[in-house]
Amino acid sequence: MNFEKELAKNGEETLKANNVYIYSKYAPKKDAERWIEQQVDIHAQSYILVGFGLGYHLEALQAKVGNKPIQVLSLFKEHEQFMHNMNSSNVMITSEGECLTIDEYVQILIPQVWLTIMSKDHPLYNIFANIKMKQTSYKRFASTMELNFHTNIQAQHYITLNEFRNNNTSSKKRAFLIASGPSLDERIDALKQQAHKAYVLCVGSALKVLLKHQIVPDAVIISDCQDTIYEQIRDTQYEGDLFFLCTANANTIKQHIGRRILLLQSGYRLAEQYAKNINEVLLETGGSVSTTAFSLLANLEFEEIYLFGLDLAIAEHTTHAQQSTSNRDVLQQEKLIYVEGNRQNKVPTLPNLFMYLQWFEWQANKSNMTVYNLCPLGAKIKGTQYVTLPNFEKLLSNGD
Amino acid sequence: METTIVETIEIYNEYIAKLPNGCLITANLLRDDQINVAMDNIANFAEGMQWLLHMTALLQQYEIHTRINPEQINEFLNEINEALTNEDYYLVADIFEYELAEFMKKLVPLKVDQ
Repeated sequence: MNFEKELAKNGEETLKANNVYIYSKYAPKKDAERWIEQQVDIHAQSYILVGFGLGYHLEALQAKVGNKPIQVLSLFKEHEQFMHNMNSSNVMITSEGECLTIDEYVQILIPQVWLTIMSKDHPLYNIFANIKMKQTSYKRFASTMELNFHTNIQAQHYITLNEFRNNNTSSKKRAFLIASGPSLDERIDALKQQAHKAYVLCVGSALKVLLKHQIVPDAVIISDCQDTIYEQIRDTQYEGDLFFLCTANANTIKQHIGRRILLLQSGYRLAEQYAKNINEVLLETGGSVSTTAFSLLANLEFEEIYLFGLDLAIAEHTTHAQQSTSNRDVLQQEKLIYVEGNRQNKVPTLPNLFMYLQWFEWQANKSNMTVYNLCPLGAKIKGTQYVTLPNFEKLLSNGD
Repeated sequence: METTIVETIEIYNEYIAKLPNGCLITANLLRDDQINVAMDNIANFAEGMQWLLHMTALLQQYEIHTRINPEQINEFLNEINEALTNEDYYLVADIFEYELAEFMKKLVPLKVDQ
């Protein structure tokens, strides 16, 4: 890593690493202070700060949180070069990730620039990128989520997951989880033929694809807080069950003409409080509607899950099935990660999809459910069994 | 025709009034690591600059001068593009906050009676 100190326009020192500015070239300290001000959760009990640089973020953090413990991960040992007179008993600086102590009360602070200059092969890169992605997404939507939460809960137009489970008399132990990845187009005919043999749960962005092929799912699940997801159900006249996260878009939920079932997610303070008040279960969402769907099916104690359209990869530079409301072209400058494919040796994926892939692998490995993967264009999900069409039919016949 | 020119001037004046604050918003998004949202803003900004240059050329035909220097706008856009290619988001933020916002504040609204 090539570090270069420079004089900023305001006379302070600033820093570049591999020709990328770590701080502002105009007012570096003010830049670091502003970042800390915007990012820090004052209620955390301790902090991990990724990257030392010239120590500006650390100084700002110390000024803000006082004597609370701070661990700094100096990724390139730059603190040895740039640290001056740092004598604080509450600060520990290390270059070794394994020296960090992480618990549920720590806040991890990652200035984006360190992810930009880190090598993608760095052992901590994916972990930090995942954390950063989730933090950024939450920050962007925090107020919308809260508004949706209050609107949804006050509407009282739903039943809870416990109530659903108690009233649900279906004996089916097999579920089809339909996501809207490119593989769905290849498997839609097989799905249509076999849909009656399972409980069919689809994500919102796959609903119109299914309905276009006269497949009516048992339930749809939505989790997104934005108004744009209304497009997923608009004009469908779908009357089946709608599972919704408590922070999902309130207007979309209100417009649904069928039964609504409330889901409460762990890791979201308002949901956790409400769940405690009404003695309800919490679901792990995993960050996406598909991961939430998987958690839901596990909670409903299905024994077998068949995954459709859960590619977690991109095919021919598109991200979703052709008719899906979520399909978009992949821009050339998006960072691609190559992973093992089901049918192909390597398939490209995006950072957010890679994060979900890792989540599914972790969940599949610890789950009691048998998970079958019917996504030929998709990434291999360890812990699941990739199934071709002939074997799919055999499995369903054997099960019957 | 006169009505059209007047309307164009009004739209132009409305747009340039919003630019300084728009630049600061983009800078703050970048500094807050909201890169995806900032990129949408930057794309809109680039389109807006093309429109601005187009308006400048059109109005010039009617002897109405905005005093916008197209070369300077293009220089800003090139700098931003280069920084984005390097994923140097703090540099892009600096350009928006300390250079573009200041530049936009100096744009003078056109008087309708011109």
